[in-house]
Amino acid sequence: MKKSIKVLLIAILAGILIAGGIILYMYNMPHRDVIGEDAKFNIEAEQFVNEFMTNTSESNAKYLDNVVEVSGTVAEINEDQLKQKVVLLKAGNSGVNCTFTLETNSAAENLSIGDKVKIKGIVRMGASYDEDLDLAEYAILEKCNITK
Amino acid sequence: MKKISLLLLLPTLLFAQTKYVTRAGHANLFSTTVAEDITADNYKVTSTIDTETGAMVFVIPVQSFEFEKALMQKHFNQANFMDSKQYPKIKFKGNITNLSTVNWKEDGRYPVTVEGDLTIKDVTKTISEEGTITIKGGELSANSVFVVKGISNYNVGKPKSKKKKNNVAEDIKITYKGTYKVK
Repeated sequence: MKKSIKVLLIAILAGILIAGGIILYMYNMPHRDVIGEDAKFNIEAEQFVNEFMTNTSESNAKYLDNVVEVSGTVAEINEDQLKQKVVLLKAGNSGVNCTFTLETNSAAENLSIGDKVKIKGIVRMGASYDEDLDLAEYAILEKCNITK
Repeated sequence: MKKISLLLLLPTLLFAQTKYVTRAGHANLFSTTVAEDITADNYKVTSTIDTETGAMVFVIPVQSFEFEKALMQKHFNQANFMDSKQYPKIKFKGNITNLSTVNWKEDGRYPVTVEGDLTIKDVTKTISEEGTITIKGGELSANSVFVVKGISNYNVGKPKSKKKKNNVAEDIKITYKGTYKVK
């Protein structure tokens, strides 16, 4: 076999392997490590909620799917159907609802109502008043952890 | 003075315990095609039930759906699919049509039909689905398994070219469970 053909075959084979590897990697792409991520914004719960209430679309574009550190006062501590701790930071009539993970739950266990905390998590939904629910919807943070 | 305070109390007594709320409902979605089965869970459903009027409202934060595969989650939120930055919520607003068959004061399982408007990506369609209201020791919960038919009618998941096959089924099965508390 000619040397050039050999090189070509090797190149094609390498190409196939690399393409296969990329597809396999994409398919099994790891989930975003929110807990290990630094916050893009640091903000008071009160201001965070107000921004969504006064300028919904701009705040959606700014905050949704980003990691944010929110500081505020603990108003409620609950648990969801997955036994993850859910800590509410009150802000006016609304608030910021922060869901922890089974790994970070222990950090929330030491909290009491009235504590001042900084909680970091990924923003899933903004705060708003919903006429149909007749409720103030809380801003939703998930994969939370206490930063201070 | 006593009369006045009673009068002031009256509205709260009249409207006492008719509105129930959860902020932690669980919705699972399931799509099956020849190519693959896709399932995702959402534990952040806000919902209200008004036992007086039979009104039921659900708000589902789209970005809270979690998939087994990160890539699927990414595709789900992308602009050509759910476009969740632009449309962060799915909403259903409806009424229990057989309200009189539910005895809210007595423990039991009550089959209900709920009819109303489902809004996904600003497209609203009227749907009617079956579910169960369970009352046990003053606690109220709602369950339902239903199918949202023709998801592409809500501008979701239309492939760019007609030749391209869609990996997502047209009909999506939804399983919901929520435990409610007095508002």
